[in-house]
Amino acid sequence: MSQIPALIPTSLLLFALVSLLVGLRSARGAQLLAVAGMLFAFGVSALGLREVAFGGDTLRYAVGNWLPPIGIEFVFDSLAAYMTTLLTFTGAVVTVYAPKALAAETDGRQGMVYPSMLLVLAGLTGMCVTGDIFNLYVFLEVAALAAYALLALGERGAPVATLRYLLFGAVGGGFYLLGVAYLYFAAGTLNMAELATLLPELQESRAVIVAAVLMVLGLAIKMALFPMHFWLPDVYTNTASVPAALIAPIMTKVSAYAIIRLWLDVFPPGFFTEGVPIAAAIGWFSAAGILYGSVLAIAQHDYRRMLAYSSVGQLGYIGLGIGLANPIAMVGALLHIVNHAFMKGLLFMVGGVIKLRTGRTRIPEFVGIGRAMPWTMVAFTIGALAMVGIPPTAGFFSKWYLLLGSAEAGAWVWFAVIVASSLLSAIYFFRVIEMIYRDPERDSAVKDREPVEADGAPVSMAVPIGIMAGGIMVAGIFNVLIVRALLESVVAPLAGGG
Amino acid sequence: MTDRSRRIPIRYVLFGLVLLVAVGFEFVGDPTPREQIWDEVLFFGVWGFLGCLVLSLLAKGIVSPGLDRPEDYYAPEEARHDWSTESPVTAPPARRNGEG
Amino acid sequence: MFGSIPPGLFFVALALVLPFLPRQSRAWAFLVAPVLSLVHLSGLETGTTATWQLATFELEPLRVDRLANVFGWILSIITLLGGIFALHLKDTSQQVAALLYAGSALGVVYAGDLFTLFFFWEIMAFGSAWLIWARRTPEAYAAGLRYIYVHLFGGAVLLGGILWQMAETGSLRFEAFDLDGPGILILVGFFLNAAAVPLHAWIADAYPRATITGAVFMSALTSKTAVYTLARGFPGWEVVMWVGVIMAVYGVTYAILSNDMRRVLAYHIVSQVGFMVAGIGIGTEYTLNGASAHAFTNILEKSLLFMATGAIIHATGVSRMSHLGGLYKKLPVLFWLYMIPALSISSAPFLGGFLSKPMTISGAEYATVPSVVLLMHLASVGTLLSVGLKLPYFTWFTKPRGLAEGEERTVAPIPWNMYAAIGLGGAGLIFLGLWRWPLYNLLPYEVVFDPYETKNLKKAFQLIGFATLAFLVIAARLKPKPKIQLDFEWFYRAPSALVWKWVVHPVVGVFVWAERVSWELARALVPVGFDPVSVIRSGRPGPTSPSGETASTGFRVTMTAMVMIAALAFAIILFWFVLLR
Repeated sequence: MSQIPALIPTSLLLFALVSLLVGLRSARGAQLLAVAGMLFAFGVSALGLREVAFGGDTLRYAVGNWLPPIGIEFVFDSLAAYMTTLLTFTGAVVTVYAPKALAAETDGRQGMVYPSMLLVLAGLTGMCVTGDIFNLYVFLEVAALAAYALLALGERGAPVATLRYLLFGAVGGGFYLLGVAYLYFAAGTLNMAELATLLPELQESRAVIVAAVLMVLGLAIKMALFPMHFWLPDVYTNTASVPAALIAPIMTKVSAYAIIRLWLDVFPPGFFTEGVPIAAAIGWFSAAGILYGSVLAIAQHDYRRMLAYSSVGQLGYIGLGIGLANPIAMVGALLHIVNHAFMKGLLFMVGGVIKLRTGRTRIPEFVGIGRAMPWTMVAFTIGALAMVGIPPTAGFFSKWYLLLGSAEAGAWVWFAVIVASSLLSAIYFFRVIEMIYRDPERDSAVKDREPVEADGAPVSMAVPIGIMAGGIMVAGIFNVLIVRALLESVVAPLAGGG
Repeated sequence: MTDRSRRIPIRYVLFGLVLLVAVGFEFVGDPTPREQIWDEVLFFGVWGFLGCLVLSLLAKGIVSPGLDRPEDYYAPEEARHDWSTESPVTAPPARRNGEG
Repeated sequence: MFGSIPPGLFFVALALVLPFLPRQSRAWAFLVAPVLSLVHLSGLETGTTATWQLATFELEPLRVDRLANVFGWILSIITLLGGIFALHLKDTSQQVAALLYAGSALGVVYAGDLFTLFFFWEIMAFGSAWLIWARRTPEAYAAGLRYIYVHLFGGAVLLGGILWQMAETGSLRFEAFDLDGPGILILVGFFLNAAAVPLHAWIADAYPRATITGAVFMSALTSKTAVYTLARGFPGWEVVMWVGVIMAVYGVTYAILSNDMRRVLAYHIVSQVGFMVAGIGIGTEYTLNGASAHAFTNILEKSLLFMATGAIIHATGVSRMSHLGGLYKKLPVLFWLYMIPALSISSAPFLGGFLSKPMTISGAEYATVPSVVLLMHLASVGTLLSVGLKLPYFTWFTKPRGLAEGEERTVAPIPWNMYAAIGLGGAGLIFLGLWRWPLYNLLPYEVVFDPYETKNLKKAFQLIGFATLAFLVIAARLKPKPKIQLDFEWFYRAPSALVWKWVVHPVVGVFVWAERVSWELARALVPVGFDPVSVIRSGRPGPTSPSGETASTGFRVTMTAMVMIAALAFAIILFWFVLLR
C-alpha cells in the first residue's frame, strides 16, 4: 500500500486550509503557499508516475485502512498519474501567473482566491485517484463548489453566468449520483474494481443500463458536451482571467476522464459500444459540437468568447476520441487532454496579459499588440498553431491520432468533421494573428483604430506563459514517449474490441 | 557628314545573324529522316513565328476581352476583413436581479 | 559527413537559434544552414536511410536516392543564393520563417514515409504564409490568409488520402501510388502545391504580394517540392501528362496578359511546372530525367527572375509594367542580369535551361503523341514571349509610363548583395550551359540526350529567332494594361462575401435565436414558479414590483423546492420503470 495516491488530494486540501488562514493576513503568503502546495502535489505525482510508467505496478491506498469493498480505495495507475501530473502542473503554472492579473481584475480579497484554487485542484486530483464511484462524486462536487466561487470573480455578468453553471452542474451531478445509486442497487458495491468483476453478469439488467446512461449523461453535462454546453460560453467570457486560465484547461477534462475511467475500468468491455450505443451517441454529439463550436467561434468579436466556443469544439475532439472506441483514437483523446490544457491555458493567460496592459478584450481592438508585446504574441502564435494542428506542436499529434482512429474505424464523416474544424480554427485564429500584427500607420483599413501602446508582459506572467508555450512544443515532440510510457497500457483493454 | 539613316544599329545586325544561323542549321549535319511534322524544313522557324502570333492572339483576342477586370476587382472584399460587418451574435439577454 | 541526419534539420536548428544571435549577424548567420547542408549532401551516400519509431509506426525521416538528391542539391543552393539576396534584410521573423520553410522543403524531399512528408508539408505552408504577411500591406494580409486557407485545405485533402491509404494498406511508405481512392486524394494534394490547373490560382494571388525576398524562396520551394513528390508518387500516369500540358499552355497565356511583373512570373511557374508534370506523366527514364533537370535549372532561373524583378520593386516602388518602362538608363546592369535567366528559361543555347526543358520535349517525341510535343513547343514559345521578351521590353525599354509630365523616375540604390546573388546565379547558369556534366551526373537515370546535337541547336535557334521576329512585329499590341484577368480564384473569392452573408450569418443566427428563445422561456416561467397560485387564480403571473419581486399571495414556492420536486418525480418515474423491469 503506497501513500502516494492519498497524498495528492489530501496535501492539496491541507495546503488549502493553511493558505486560507494565511490569506486572511497576506495575499502574497497565500499565493506562495498555493504554489508550494501545487508543486508538492506535482512532485508526488511525478514520483508516482515514475513508478507506474512503462507498465509498472498500480499504487493503491485504502483510506483508514479499511480494505475495499467496504472501504474507499485510492488507485494510482498510469491514467491517474497522467492526469494528476497534468492537473498539478497546470495549477502551479497558473498560480505563479495569478497575482498581477487578480490585482487588476478583482477588488482585493485575493487571499481568498488561492485557497479556492487549491480546493479545485484537490477535488480534481481526488477524482482522478479515487477508486470508488461515490467518492468520485464527492470530489467532483468539492471541485465544482470551489470552481463556482472562483468563476464568480470578474466582470458584472460573472456571478449570473456562474449561477447558471451551478444549476447545470447540480443537475449533472444529480444525474451522476442517481446513476451511482442504481449501480449500487444493482451490484451492491461502490468500489470500481469490485464492480468490474460483478458487472459482466449484470450487464443485461435495466438498472445497470440506466445507471450507465445517467452517469455518462451527468458527466457529459459537466464536460460541456454538445448540446449541454450552454453554460460554458458565458462563464468563460465573464470570469476573470485567472479563474478562466485555471478552470478552462482542466475542469471539463476531468469529467471526460471520468467517462473514460468508467468505460475502461468499471463497465465490462463492449458495454459502451454494443448494447446501449453510448459511445456512438457521445461520438455524434461530439461531432456536432465540434462543428458548432468552430463555426460560432468565427463569429465572435470578444477574445474570451471565441476561446469559449473554441473549447466546446475542442472538447468535442476528446468526445469523438471516446466515441470511436478504438485504442488509437482513445490515445488521441487522452493526448488531446494534455494538449488542450496547455493550449487553452496559454491562450487565456495571454488574454489576461492583454487585459492587464491594455484593458481590451475585443479582437478588433487588438491592433498592433504584436509590436507592443512581441514575445507574448510569439507565445500566442504557438498556441494558435497548436489549436489549428500544425506540426510540431502538440495539437498536430493528437489530431493525427484522432484522424488515424477515424480512418481505422471507417468513420469518414467524423474524419471530415475533424479536418473541417481544423480549417475553421485556422480561420478564427489567423484572423487574430493578422489583427495583432497590423500597423495602423501603414494599414489603411485599420487606421482609425487606436493602436496599443503598452509594455510587454510582466515577468511573473511571462514566465508561466513561456512555460506553457514550451510545454506545447515538448508535449508535441515527446508525445511518443508519453504514449509509450503511460497511454498504451491505459488503452490496452480497448484493443480487444472494448 | 554621316547619313544616320544608313547606319543600322548593331542589335539588328546581331539579330539578323541569329536568324541566318537558325536557317543555316537546316543545311548542316546529317539529313534527318522526315518522320514527324517537326522534321520538315524550317518547321521550328515557322512554329516559333506562328506560335508567337497564335498565343498573342489567343491571349489578347480571346482571353483578355472576356476576363479582363480592373485591378481592384476583388477589393471590396478587403473591407470585410476589417470586422466592420456586424455579426448577429450579441451578448446574451441581460438578467434582472432577483430572478431565479 | 554528419551521419544520417536529414539535411533539413540544419535549417530548423538555425531557425530556433537565430533570434538569439546579435542583430547584425543574423542575415549572415542565415547562410550557415545551406552551407552545412551542401557539405552534408556531398558526403551523403545514396541508399542512406534513418528510421524512427512513432507509436506503432516506423517512420523513415531520411531516404536518400538519386531523385531526392537532385532536389536536395538545388534547394540548398537556392537557399544560399536567396540568403545572399536577403543579406540586407532586418526582419528576423522572415529569416526564421524562411529557414523553417526551406528546412521543411528538404524534409519533404528526403522523407521516406508519408507522416514525415505531411509533417513538413504543413510547416512549409505556414512558413511561406508568413513571408506573405511580412509585407504588411492590407492586400498582403488578405492574400496571406487566402494562401494559408488554400494550403490547409490542400493539406487536409492530402492527409485524408494518406490516412485512407494507411487504413487500407497498413503502410505509410512513400512510394509510387495507384490511382485508387486514396491515391487520387494524395494526387490532388500534391497537385495543389504544384499549382496544377485548376488548383493554381493561389500562386498568382499570393506571389506578387509577398515580400521581395520572400517571393524568391517561395518561387523555388513550394511548387518544386510538389514536383518532386509527383515524380516519386505518380510517374507514368497519362492523366498527369495531360494536366501538365494544360498547365504549360494555360500558364503561359495568362503570363502574357498579366501586368504585375511578379504575377507574370507566378503564372509562368504554372507553365514551367507544367512541363515537369508532363514529363512525369509520360514517365520514361528520358522524360523523368528531363523533369528533374528542368526542376534544377528552373529553380535557379525562377529565383533569379524574382530577384531581378524584386530589385526593380525595391528600387522604384513599382511592380506593374503599366507603370514602368525606360529603366535601361537607370538600371542597365539589372537588365543584363535579368536576361541571363530569362534567356535560359527560354532554352537559349549556352545557358543552363538549354540542357533541361529540351530534354523533356525530346523525350516526349519518343514516347507520346505528336500533339503533346507540339503543344510543349508552343508553350516554350510562350515562355520566351512572356518572360524573355514582353517583360524586359516594356520594363526597361519603351517610354516610361505612370509618371507625370516631365517627371523623372526616382530610383533607390540597390543593395550590393542583390546584384551579387543574381550575378552568382547567372554565372552558374552560364557555367552549366557550357559544362553540363555536374548536372547530368546528378540525374536519376543515365542521360541519353545531347543538347548540342545539331538538330537541338537548330530547334533552339529557330524557335527563339523567329518568335522574336514575330514579337517585334506585334510588340505594340502587347502593351501592358492595368488589368487582371479572372481565373479560378473567382470561384472562392467572389462568393466569399455571399457565403458569409448566406451561410455563416444564418447558422449563427439560428443558434443565437435558439439560445434567446430558451432564456425567454425560462424567464417567462420564473414568475409562474414563484407564485403558482396567482397564476391559477387569475391566469396570469402575479404583479411584479419594480425590484422584480412578485407580490406575495402567501403561497410562494421557492425555486429550490420546485427543482427538488421535479428531481424527485423524475427519480420516482425511473425507479418505477426499473422495478417493473
